[in-house]
Amino acid sequence: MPAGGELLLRLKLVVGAGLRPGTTNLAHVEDGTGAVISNTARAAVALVPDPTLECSELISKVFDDKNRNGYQDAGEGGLPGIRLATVSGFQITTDEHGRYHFPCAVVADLRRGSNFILKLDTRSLPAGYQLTTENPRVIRMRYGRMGKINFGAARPPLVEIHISDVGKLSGKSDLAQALAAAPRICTRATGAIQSR
Amino acid sequence: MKLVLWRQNIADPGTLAQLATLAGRVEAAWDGKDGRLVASDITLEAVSGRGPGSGLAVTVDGEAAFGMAPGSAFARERPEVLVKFDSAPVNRRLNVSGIVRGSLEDLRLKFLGYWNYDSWIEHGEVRIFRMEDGVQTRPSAIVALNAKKEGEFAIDGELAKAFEGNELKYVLRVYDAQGRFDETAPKSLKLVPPRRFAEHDGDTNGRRDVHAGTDERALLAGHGRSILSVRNIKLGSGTITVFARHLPKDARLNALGRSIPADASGKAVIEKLVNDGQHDVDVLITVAETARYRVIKRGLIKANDYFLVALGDFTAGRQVIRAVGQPSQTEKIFDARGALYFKGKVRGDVLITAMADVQDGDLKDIFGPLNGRDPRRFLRRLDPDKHYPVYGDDSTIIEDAPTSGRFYVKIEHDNSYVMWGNFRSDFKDTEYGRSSRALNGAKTSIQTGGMTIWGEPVTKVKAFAANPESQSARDELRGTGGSIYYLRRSDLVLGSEEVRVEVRDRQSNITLSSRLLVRGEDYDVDYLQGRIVLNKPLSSTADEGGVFTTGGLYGHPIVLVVQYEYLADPADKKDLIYGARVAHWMNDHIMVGGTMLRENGGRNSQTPFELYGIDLTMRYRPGTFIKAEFAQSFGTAQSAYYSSDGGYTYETRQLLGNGRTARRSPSMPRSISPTCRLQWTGNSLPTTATVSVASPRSDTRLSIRRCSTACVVT
Repeated sequence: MPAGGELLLRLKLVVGAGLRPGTTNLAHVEDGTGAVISNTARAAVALVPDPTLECSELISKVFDDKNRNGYQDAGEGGLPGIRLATVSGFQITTDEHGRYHFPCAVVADLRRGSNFILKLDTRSLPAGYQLTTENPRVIRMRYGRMGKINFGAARPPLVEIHISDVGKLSGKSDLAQALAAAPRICTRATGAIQSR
Repeated sequence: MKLVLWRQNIADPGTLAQLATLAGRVEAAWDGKDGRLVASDITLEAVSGRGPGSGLAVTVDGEAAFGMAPGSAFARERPEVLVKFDSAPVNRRLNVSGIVRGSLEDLRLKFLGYWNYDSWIEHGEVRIFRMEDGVQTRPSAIVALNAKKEGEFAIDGELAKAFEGNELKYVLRVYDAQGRFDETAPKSLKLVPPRRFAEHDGDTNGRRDVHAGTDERALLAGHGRSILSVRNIKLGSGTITVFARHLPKDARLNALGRSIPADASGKAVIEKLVNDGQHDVDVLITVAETARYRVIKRGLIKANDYFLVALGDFTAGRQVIRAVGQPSQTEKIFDARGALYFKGKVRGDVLITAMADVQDGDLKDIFGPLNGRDPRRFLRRLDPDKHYPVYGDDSTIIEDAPTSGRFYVKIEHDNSYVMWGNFRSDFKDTEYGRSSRALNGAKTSIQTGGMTIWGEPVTKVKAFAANPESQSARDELRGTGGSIYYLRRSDLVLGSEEVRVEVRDRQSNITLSSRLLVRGEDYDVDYLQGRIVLNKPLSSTADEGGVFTTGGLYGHPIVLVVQYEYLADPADKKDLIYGARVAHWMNDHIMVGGTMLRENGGRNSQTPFELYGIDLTMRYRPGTFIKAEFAQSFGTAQSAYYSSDGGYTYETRQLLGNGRTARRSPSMPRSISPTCRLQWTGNSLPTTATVSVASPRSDTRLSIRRCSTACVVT
């Protein structure tokens, strides 16, 4: 090699098993003293994740949180047709029983996991329903492990005015009287509506 | 809040009027007091039966508040009705599936359509074509769908003969009240009677039922998925869903102009796409024609609305590993990611979709070459039904912002849009200027000027510019007598392959006959490994029709031709590909169009490929038209590779060199020299013909093929 000349070295990368996602192989030439005397060659290895072992799945439910405590208790069924969205533009719609899944939601960092965000589109809730759990929700996904994000929603306290015979009522005054007679409960109910 | 009226006869027309009047008063009373309740919070409900008290009673969550004994509870035995007013933009879905029933003598086709925008559709029809015809021509038969979206069609002997190779293709077309239509992509069907297990192994115990079940399942295959190809119908901007549960036995749910029975678990759902504005939804539940329960719910579909989810994620740290007898290792950790997804609606009909996902490593080349494929995007090529994890639910997932880069933007208005992201080039109106590549880049499609009387947009403009996400390749494999063939490339794009068997002339290598194979029926393909497995072995020669044969390999060679797209190494990628097409109807009968396509050569390819074409269509009525097309191409589009040993080794065959003329056959898109083509299809002529004339320079070829033998005088 002449002094001051250039030498082009082509390197071949042999990929073995045991590789982790996001690996980049770097190569440079050193002289006898360990000083770098070349540019650094880079070879990124794209590793296709195995859906069963490396991906983190998401399996959960959107439920009718009747007692508004944020947890799914006995007798609290699912809410069908609720739409959830990820930041990568995926729209998930729950099934008849409020269940949903998102396969390979994220290939999490092997050592410390990765954050994952999911937001429930409140427009897809039945009229009057409000969320009782955090929305949007961020969880830490672990490498190859399954994640869970449950969403609960409930209708506000239901105030019902039952009229058995319209003929017996003398219109507004009776109704107003009835409502005035139960101000405490109605205020409690509307207060609950207001606070959500 | 609910205002509930208990009556013996709720069908009495005065009932709801009385309730509405009361609701007006209550509303006023509440508003005057603290202004907390608004009108939309009041639901009117009429129930047949006796209420909890006499006259007036108030309950909160079913517990007595007024007019009842204190502490007493009132059990709700009424059906529960949930009404959903969803202002989110609607994804229209259209699909069709067909099966063959009956015996060889009496073949019947059964079709089931699927769409989710009922209120816009006046009627639907399945249009049946012969395999070689385009879907723009006159169909061989039209099957109207009934109210259940079903259609049945008996094929008589005469018609069956028309379908060469016992194959046909069909599309579903649905019309709105104005005569505009939406159409699906074509699907194909083989005219083979359903197999009976009895004939195969004599085991009829219970298996026949299983088979009958798969019939129904095959018909439902299209449910929930969309293969929409042509969209002309203008849709509303939101959805109203009525969901009822705890319904009594034999109850029917009547709402939004439809009536459906409750299922075994007492549930029923009705969904309708609607325009923006305020809607009063009147839900009536009947049992044996008697009205039992009625709810009126008022809701709003917003004209301007949006949904946004965004994430900013930042991790910084230092990791120190100490081990006995070794120097400690320190590693700094720095991670950052910003991502958002936005879906908005402006004035009810302009839709904006945006997605961005940027990681710290991306910042240096944020707008740089988009060839960095994200391993997390593998999901796109993963068919969840084919991999082990079984999730056991019926939820659906839609990728609303497909991109292999870091951004996605799409702005839509009616049927026009501008976008950046993943798309298919989708030039399919002409024979020579065809392009159907999976690309990542910019695309626009604009339809203006109203509709012709045939329901097509007057002016259509399409243009795109992109980095190819995938490369197209064409492999020719000589039949080996076996059924496994290895393609030159692996990592194929799902569903991109087109496989045909061609018989070539022994002397001139001209294609004598060609048959398109159907996946699942004729072959199976392993997309990751790039392998085709035919269901039947493919022999290497076909009978030439001669009287004498000289040796075992005498006859015309049979070649398996596979055209496909594969995910290329970034280094192999072509730099830029762009194209444009304009088509304009001068009046209802004459259309002129122009097409331009260009692919710049990549690092490994030689010359850029260019194609220019003009075309003229004169239409008398649908199905009767004259089409003239002229196109010229320059440069090398692609190379074909030929293998005589089933794909172990390949040799190159250039499809088109510089200045050389190549033969044009339907399976060789984009490899043409100055070429024109005249197509005449008429339904008032005894026979119709398509004439393709290549340039009269060297490999001139004149092919006349009969298009139709049916004579229809209208």
